[in-house]
Amino acid sequence: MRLTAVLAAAAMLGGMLAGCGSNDSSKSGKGETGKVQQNEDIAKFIYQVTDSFDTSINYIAASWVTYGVAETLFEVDEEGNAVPLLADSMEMKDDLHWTLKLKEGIKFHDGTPFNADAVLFTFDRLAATGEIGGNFDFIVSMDKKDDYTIEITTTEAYGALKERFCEYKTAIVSPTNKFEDTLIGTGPFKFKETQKDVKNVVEKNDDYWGGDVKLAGAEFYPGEDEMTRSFQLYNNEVDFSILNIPITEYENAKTKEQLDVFTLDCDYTHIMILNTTKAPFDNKDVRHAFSYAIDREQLVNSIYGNVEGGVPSFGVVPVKYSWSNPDACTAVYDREKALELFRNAGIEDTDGDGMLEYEGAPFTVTIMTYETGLYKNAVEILQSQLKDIGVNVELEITTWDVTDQKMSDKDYDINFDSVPFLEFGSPVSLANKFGSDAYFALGAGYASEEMDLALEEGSKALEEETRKEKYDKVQEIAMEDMPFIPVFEVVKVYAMNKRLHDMDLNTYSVFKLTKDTYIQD
Amino acid sequence: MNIMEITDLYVGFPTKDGLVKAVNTIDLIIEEGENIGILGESGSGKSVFADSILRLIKDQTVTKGTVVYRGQNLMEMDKKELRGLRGKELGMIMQNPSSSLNPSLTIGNQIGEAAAVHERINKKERNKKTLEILEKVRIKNAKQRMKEYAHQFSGGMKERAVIAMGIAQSPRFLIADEPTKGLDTLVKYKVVQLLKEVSENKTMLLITHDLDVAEQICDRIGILYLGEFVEISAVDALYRTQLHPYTEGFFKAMPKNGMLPIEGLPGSLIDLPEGCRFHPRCPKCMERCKKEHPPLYTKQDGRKVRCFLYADSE
Amino acid sequence: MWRFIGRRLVQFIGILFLVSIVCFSINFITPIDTAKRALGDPMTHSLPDETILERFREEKGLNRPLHEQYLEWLGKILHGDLGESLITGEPVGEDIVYHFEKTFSLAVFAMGLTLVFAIPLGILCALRQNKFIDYIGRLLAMTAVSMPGFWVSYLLIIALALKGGILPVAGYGDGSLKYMVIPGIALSLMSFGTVMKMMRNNMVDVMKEDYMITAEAKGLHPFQIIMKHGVKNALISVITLAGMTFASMLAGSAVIEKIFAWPGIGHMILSGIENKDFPVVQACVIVVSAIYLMINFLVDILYIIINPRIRYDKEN
Repeated sequence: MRLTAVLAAAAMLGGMLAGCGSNDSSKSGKGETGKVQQNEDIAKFIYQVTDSFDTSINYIAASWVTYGVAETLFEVDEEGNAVPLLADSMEMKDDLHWTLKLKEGIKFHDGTPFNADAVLFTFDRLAATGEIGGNFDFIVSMDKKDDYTIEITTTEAYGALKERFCEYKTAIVSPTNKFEDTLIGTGPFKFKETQKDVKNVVEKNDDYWGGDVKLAGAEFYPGEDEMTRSFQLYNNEVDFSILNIPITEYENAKTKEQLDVFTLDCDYTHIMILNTTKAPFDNKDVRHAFSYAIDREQLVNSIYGNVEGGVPSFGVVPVKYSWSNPDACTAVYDREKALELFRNAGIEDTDGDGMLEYEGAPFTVTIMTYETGLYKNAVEILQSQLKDIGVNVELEITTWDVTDQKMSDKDYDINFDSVPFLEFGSPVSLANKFGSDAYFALGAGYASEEMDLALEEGSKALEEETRKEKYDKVQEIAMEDMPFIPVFEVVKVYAMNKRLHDMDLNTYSVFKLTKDTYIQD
Repeated sequence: MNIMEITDLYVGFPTKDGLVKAVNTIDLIIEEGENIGILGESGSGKSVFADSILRLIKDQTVTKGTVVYRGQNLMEMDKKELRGLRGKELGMIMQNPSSSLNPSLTIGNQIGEAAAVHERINKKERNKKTLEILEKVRIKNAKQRMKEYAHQFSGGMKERAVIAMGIAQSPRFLIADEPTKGLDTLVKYKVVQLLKEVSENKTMLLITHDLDVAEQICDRIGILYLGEFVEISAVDALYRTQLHPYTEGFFKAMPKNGMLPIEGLPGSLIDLPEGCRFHPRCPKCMERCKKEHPPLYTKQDGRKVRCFLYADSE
Repeated sequence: MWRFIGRRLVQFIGILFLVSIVCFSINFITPIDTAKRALGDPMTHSLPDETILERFREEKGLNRPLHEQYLEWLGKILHGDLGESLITGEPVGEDIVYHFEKTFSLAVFAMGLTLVFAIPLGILCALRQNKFIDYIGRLLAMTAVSMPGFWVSYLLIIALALKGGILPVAGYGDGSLKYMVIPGIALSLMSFGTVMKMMRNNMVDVMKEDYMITAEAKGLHPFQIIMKHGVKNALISVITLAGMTFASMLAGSAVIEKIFAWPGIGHMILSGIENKDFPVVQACVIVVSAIYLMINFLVDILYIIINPRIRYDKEN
């Protein structure tokens, strides 16, 4: 018996050592410096895993556009303008009609030609499944005029059409797609191998219409644990993680020579959503009071510490966008003003104990938010800030399905959440927040005819100037009505291996793998 | 020839209540071929004595003295040599067969193991031997029984199994530790017969508290009280007359003699009484007994007794 | 023994049935509209029209009475159809096999480590009871048990992957052994302490038994005594503990799988829960429960087989 035990132990150890000895080809070695190697470079990424390859249905799958597999008709350039990509041009014939011309000579990864049929296939799917918000309902029809020309009919004049076609879910996919375990698109990279939850591998599309692709391919690995992916970056097992690393790792990551550590503003703004159907939040003064009561800068400093880049939000559109209306960045810290407004609403410190009273009882509000990310940290700071001014705050830390339900039932005081005010840099998406049928507005019990009008006019306006004017107005109304109080922008920390170059970082803080991305040690 | 000479044997256990002097002290000479019985109550130290001969007791004991077996001192022997003697020259018939048998191994396995300890024999040989031994101890259906486990055996059969393990290698010297404890009369009788058989042409040291059993099997009997002999006598002589007051009391306490208990309780092995260890319970206690510890006197007829009453009879 | 088996089998089926009911009820205890969940975009909270939602509900039979839905679901499961994912529409059954394989191989590896190291360590500590090695051993065991899984995992990653340089930090990789090493050690450590301690304590108890002295009296070498007589008896209850430990490893340690990005069943359940993909969660829970109960059952039988006292008692 002892002999077998010893043998078993020896076998185990032997197996382990053998396994360890086998070659690790995934390490990025210190190659010869200075050479841009064309044919063997594989970039390794950590990404957000999804089981789906269906860009029209699954919003995470739509990221394959950023990983270079599928492309949209238009894309957003550095200035925020929608410029043609797969499209050649799109002109407005009249108020309700557009002529879309497609680029010729483009092929999908499997050789299928990119043409009007493919475009119609894509948009038919979007219409049929109606997924991810059926908000393409302004399109009445798309008619094929010839292989490369499509006429689009809209319900009314829709100025933002080009911008809408930048959205990832509109990426044009081949009609030959089954979407089961792969995606056939037109991009610089095509799928080589997919292994669910293990890795996805893409390789260079030799026939890419846009020109020569520098990288030989890329590999995508899951990395849900934020510490683990940090370790993988430190250990050179991946070149970049599209998912951020924890703020607490900022300092540590900076000590690693091979990494570039930086922060990015993620286009999400943390806001306090107020239940305007419930007293005293139905009183505008009270809403404004809350906004004046919080010291955004202090909060940002507490959270981000010495990590550069925490951005307090004083208005609804982040200032880096040209769409931002500087006159509407009025959510500042003003303690006196806050107290004054509270007093006007009947909330004051009647017994001198430092805490405000409302209707005879200590003024208490509940803020609900999520456990993950910075939400909890942030509300804890808000809690102490508000306490300082005399408001008693209780916290409810929960999950998003609960908050969804409570928003639906209007059963809450304040919901601390985050929203992308400008999706894809387009102000049209302000309607998804402030429009009377938008989820957020509905949840806040907010509906304003004036706001709806401004939004509608903005989306329809055909001139740049008019659009700016209208959206400026939207922001003013937003700050005046204040159903949501902007607090700070979501800034995340990223680390990238220095050998990876030219990952396109567009204004929307989304990393794009392009044909120009390359590796140089 | 003297097969074993025990001199000044002392075994003490440190416990949290104090040092337990279980064997304190024993001198004994055993002739080859004789059956000698060690009689005593519980707490007299008899099992410790039996275990100490083969050095089977735990390491936390303090052992002094010598046990010379066929010219070699077992107490000073190195472990390897001692292991060589265990089972082969000196066989132990363990106390408490219920706990002395491994519940997870078959009886056949354990007996076979005993038989094969010092020899290299294959499985077939071993099984054959096991059957032979089982036959010797009169276990019927040996083939079937071999494959069974201890809990499937009755009390008497377990005892036989334990005897089987002890005699497996036909050792010259047998130590039988309380072989009839807990058995009912008929079974006890059979076991006694068996022990007589197996001890033919061997030397046996029998540990028991049962006088009748000792009478049946032994040539000589030593009476143990609180770690030392108080009387050593040939069996017949002992049955005719008991010298030591304790022995007298012991005999009188037997059911057939009236079951008269001895006054008092056996003393503590930790705090031994001063002087004669039996003096607190002795009906014939003298002043001298309270202070002086009597030696083991040898009378002219060869009987030994540890009592001042016999101080002049040497 | 057969009656025992029969009884346990009935228990097994009964429990599984109860589990299936609880499992199925998850759908309805939580206040979430399945259709909205499946078709909505959690990022922007935009939802399709009510008509589309209703169509979805019809298709999936969500409007029918609960017991009908339950029976249909149960019927499908008994035929091996574990349903489809709400997110991708793909059959869950294949997915489960795919993920379970990986949990299984990791569990086998981790169990192997535990057995190979914890058992001898336990024996060693028992033999050197209260000496230095024993204290160290028990200290290690206690620490391993008290440290939270993620902390142990990070420590191991830092020590073995970052500093050591040979092993990868995480992931399944190409399925080769080196990817299993760190998660395997982490998984093993979670149960290491209890197994080691039990072995040690059992050994300590066994060594006090009379039959150990008998073995010595026969003239056996100490090594033989310890291994043949001692370990065999001490091992009995340790084996059953090991069986239960293995069963829980098979349930897929979610923490380990998340940290090491190991595509096992724990990971699958976690994703299913996060995405509120009920069919996936239900199917996984049923499968895992069935496996867990099965192993429980086998362990009980094993115990009977290796413990002669019980085996033959039952027969008699």
